[in-house]
Amino acid sequence: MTTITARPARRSALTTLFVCAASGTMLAACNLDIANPNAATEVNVLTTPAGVRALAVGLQGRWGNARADAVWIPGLVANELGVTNASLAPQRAFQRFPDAGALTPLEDVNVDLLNFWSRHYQIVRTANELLASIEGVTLAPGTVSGVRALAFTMKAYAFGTLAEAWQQIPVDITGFQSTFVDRATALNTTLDLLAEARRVLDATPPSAEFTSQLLTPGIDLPSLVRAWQARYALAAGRNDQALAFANDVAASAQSEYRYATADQSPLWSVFTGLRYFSAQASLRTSAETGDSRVTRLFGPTPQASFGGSSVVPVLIFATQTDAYAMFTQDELSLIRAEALARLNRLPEALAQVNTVRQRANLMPRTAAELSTQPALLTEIARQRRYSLFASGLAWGDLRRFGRAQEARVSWLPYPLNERSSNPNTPPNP
Amino acid sequence: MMPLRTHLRAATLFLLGTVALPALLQAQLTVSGRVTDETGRGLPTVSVLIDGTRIGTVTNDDGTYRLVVAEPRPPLVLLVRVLGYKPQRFPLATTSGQITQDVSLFRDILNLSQLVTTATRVETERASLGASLATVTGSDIANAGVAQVDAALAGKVPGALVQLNSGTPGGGSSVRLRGLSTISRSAEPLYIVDGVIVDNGSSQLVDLGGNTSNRIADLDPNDIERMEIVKGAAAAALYGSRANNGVVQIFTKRGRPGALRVNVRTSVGQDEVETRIPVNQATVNAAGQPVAQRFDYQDEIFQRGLTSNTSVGLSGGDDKTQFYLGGSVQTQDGIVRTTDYLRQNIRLNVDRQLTDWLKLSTSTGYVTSRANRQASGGLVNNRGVLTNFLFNSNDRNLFPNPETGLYPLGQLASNPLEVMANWKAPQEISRFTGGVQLNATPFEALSIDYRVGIDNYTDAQSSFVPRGSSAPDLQGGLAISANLRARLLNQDVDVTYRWPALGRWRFVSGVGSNYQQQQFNSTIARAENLALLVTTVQGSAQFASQSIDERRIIGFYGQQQIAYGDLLTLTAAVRSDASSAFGRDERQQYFPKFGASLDLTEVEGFRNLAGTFVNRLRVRGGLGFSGEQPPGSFDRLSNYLFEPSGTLSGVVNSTRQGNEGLRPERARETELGFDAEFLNGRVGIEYTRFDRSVTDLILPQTVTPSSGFTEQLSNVGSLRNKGNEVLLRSFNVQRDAFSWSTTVTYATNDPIVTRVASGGAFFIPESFNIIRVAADQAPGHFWGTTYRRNESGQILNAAGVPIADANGTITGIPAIGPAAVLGNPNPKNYWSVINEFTVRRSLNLRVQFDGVGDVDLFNFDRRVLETPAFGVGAAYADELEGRVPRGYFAARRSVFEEYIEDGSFVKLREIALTYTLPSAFAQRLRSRNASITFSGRNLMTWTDYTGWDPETNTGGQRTVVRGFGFAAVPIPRSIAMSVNLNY
Repeated sequence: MTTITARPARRSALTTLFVCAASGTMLAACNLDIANPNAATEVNVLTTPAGVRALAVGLQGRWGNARADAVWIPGLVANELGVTNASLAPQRAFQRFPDAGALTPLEDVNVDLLNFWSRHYQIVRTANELLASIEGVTLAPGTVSGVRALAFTMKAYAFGTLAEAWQQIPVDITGFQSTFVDRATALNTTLDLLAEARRVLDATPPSAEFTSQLLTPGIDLPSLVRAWQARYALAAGRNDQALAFANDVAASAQSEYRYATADQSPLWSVFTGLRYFSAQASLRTSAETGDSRVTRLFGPTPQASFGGSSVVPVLIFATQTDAYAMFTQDELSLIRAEALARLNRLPEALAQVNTVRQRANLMPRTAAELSTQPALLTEIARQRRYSLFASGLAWGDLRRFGRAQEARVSWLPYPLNERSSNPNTPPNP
Repeated sequence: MMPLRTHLRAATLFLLGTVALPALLQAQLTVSGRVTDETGRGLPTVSVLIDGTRIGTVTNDDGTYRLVVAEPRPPLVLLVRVLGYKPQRFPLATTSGQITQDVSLFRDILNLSQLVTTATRVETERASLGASLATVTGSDIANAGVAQVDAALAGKVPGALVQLNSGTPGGGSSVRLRGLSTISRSAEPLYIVDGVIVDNGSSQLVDLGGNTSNRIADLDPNDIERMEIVKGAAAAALYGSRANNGVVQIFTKRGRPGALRVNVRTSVGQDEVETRIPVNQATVNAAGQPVAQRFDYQDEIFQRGLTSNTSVGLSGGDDKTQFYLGGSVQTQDGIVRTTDYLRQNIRLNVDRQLTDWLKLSTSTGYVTSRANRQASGGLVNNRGVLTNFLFNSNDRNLFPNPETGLYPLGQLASNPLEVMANWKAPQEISRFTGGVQLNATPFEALSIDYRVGIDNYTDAQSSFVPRGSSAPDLQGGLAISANLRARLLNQDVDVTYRWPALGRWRFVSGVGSNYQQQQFNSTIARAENLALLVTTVQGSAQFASQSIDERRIIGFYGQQQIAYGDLLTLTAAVRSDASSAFGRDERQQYFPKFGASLDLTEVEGFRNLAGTFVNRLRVRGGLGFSGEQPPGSFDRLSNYLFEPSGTLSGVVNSTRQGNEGLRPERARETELGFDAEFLNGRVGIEYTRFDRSVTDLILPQTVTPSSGFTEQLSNVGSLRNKGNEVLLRSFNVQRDAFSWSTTVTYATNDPIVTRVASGGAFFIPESFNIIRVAADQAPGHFWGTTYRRNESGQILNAAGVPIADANGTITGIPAIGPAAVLGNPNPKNYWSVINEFTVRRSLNLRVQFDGVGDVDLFNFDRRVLETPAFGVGAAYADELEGRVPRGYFAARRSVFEEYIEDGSFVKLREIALTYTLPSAFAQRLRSRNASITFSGRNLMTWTDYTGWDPETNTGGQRTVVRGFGFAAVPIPRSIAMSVNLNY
């Protein structure tokens, strides 16, 4: 169903023509393929250079819009965030409350579960449409390479995010009954896609048209590809690769998604506008004294809560146009630290940890303080909780650091709509 | 009945043209006489003609006629025919000289002899149709005394449920022929006026809470000659993919040869609210404080409204050219203050015989109307007048401050007194409907019709809320200006050939084509935070949007009729339709139909058996398929929507996937019935049983979310209507001095949804999540919370104890039980009884009762009336005065079961007393005849429903949002006096 149908409806054409002639109507009136003046259709978008350009922008818009689900759902599951009031029925099902009585079942009919799933597959669909249609239109080589790399990158990200929340996911979605693959295969797909993005960019550098007119301001695509390669190599347990990829990113590089008045931040909406979610108060109370990240991230006053949960306001996402960090140098340092620690290169790992600590205005740790691999990993996990707060990575962190049992569930159930229309959907965990 | 040689001669004539005119000149024949009814009264406007030719005339006022046949060619058969009487044929013995032929016609109690065209496109006697077709005469419509044609149909057609959704002037009514055949589309029938397909949309460009007018309200009932109502697929198949809801064809008046005839009709009347809701009169408030004053703002909201209607009709012409010119002015003040309606219509219909064999007919109508409306109801917009009668506690003084003139803010949404004083919501219609028809009969057996119809209108709706209004959320004011431009075009060709008869066998073949194009272009401009002292769309926040819906339909049909004498008629037809709204893979659709009609009284053996008791017994049956168009013209397409990324603009696919396999919704209907006349034609019964299954209902279906789509409109649902229709008519007394006739219609129907998409049940948007569609349930049933009850049905509190003690006194607070199906807003039966009495031909009394049975309504009004925050209803005083425990109503308002009420009702719909002035007196007025009518409409209602009116619906004309009582303007009780003069 991803192919574009431009063929005429031949079976009826003859009859139609006859009837037209019989009724004495002008031939133009016989045309039954009236274009939709209210919206672009497949033909306009997938077969024209302007359409492909618009789709490339739309892909990034879609990614920006899917951010809220990808942040708050793993955040609630991994005890990073908490809901602000008991009436948020679909949302609170993702949270583990100290009082067992406050727990509500996380069911496959949950509307937010479906949104998280389907919004990321919409990213995949748009990426696929771009990759399929770009061959058929005439664009500058540097624009083609930029768009293709962008599509590979966004698609890779979608699979990487889904693979941290569901045990199995489809990665080939050409039909309506896609088969599911396990997490390792999904992460391999993610890394393959990112490698492809890098290869495309290296072969043909993106054109000025791409970087100035099609790429959302704030994104440094070559660095982003490398940073996400590092992120997902780490998730896949490929520590050597993760280290190498992280080292490939320039020390000054950064990428962020800059929301605008016409494209308001969904994170602002759920954290500030609607005030659905706040941070777990323990993040503030157990922080080291003087940690500069704490005052930037969290408000001081614990909010009224329920079910034994205590939360404090989140200060980031304060305006509708606040940017969302796609990767940070802190994340790269902590990826290096973790990879090195797991490769038993403890002194180098400690150096990376201390870089992050210094950026947070904290005293460096000594080798004596963090002499063992477990001690180092604990410190790295701790730094990630602050440096990567509300980045959607906390749940994956619990898994890598052996604390998966702390999460609300081990894996999310598959949305009912997927199950009801796709017989390949695996049983719920 | 046409002999073969007539055909051959006609064909020869056609082929040779005028070259070989028969040189034989025959003497001329003059036939004269008088046509009377059974009581000897002369019948005017009866057509008298030589059968099989166009040679004919009509009778004068006293029933006399004189027909001159210039070139008589035997066999000569005189055919005398008029609506309402059985036609008669008289073979004429001579071919020259003078003959006198007086004729006495008998009443045709079931109108079986009436010639109708809607079901077959060919003039056919009703008695030959396999499927039932109902007719209504123009006088029935005009005498109903309502401004809207569809509202006037109430009770006059068996199986047609006419629901008056709103009492707002300018209308708002629904017509359901044999129940509901769709969920996503409008369920209104297809309306055709003189061959022009006209729009009957209910656009709500400006949200007035739910009530909207529907565009058939633009027609003037005084212009109508007659209507043909085709109820089911079995009869409507020729209208293809637009026929699932039936077809209503309206024929407007046309001129007749002869002297100029003038009809002047003028009426004045008054409308008022029939029922008021009792209000809370408690002397304390919820805090136990004394209340200074309780108000009943219904006194301020409702008013007596004046209505008037004046229409003039002129008709006349000569043998070649005839015309009808009609004009009217209708005014109506609403029963809600500051609402009114003004409609001006003009119509010109001209017929011109261009040549011997070619006739041109035009039909043009122009209407302009202006309605001043006010919001009411509240499915979306809750700031309306009646809505805020409910949403303001009646111990609040809502009158303006006498010093500042400022109105207090509304408690929730607005202050109804300020809304009436300052808010405006006018709607202006300007509409042209015109058709041109060419009818060619190259020879008698062949008829070719070509027709072009245009319906073109602008519907301008606007809304103005001033700065500093009483709506807390609209302090900056609001102005909306919205326009809908509608353009409909249809172009038809119908070719009919009557084959030479083979003994008693007759054959008629028809083929035709139909092209339809329609475009709806709507633009909406809206401003908030208005510029100071303006009433137009200017403000610091401005929005505008536009949308266009366009579709084309190309249809083609073939039809064959076979008749054996008057005994048997068989009809088979097939229509094919291609529509731009169908998916490419399903472009061509076919809709066949079959019908059979058998007149048992033509069977010798049966006639002997039935004797004189049964005068006529006809059995008929039909099977037909028809369709309904997809809701949106572009639903088949996968659209791409605007998706910005940061400061850049882009597009992405809509999560609703297109569907190139989208087909029309498809109905399959069978019907079986009989028409019987008894007792010398004084009692007639029509009975029909129908069974309509609609498959391929277009509903949203879940799409595998991992595809990148979430839903798709698909042909996934089905539903079924099964029911009975009965019409009984009886001439109880038929004397010269006094006559009395009775007409009863009764219909049953029980629609049920048999299948929905795999996702299962779903709620209809904008219905407060109360109206639901689910398999094996009635479409649009009410769903919601119930009382918690024990096994014996007693209502329990949260602790499981009954809330009422042994005496029935309520001592506890009810607890909420599980959600369940609560009721069905589709009436299972509806009926009407009309009695008509005539004394000495001069005094006529007509009384019509309408009833609807076995229907549930959702009385949302009552829920708000007893909600403690407002508590306007009398019931809430029970809690304030301690007759029920504190908190009782706060708990009860969450139990939706409580507010489902029996909506059955009987209404005294019409009562009309007409006095025809003695002819001597009429002549003093220089008129041929004159009459005065005193009429009343909706005078009384008997019902258990506790709201304003069980007939209205806040959902307006929406298809499945029915029976929803939330601040809908009730249907007014009307009285009127009219004078009718004919010159």
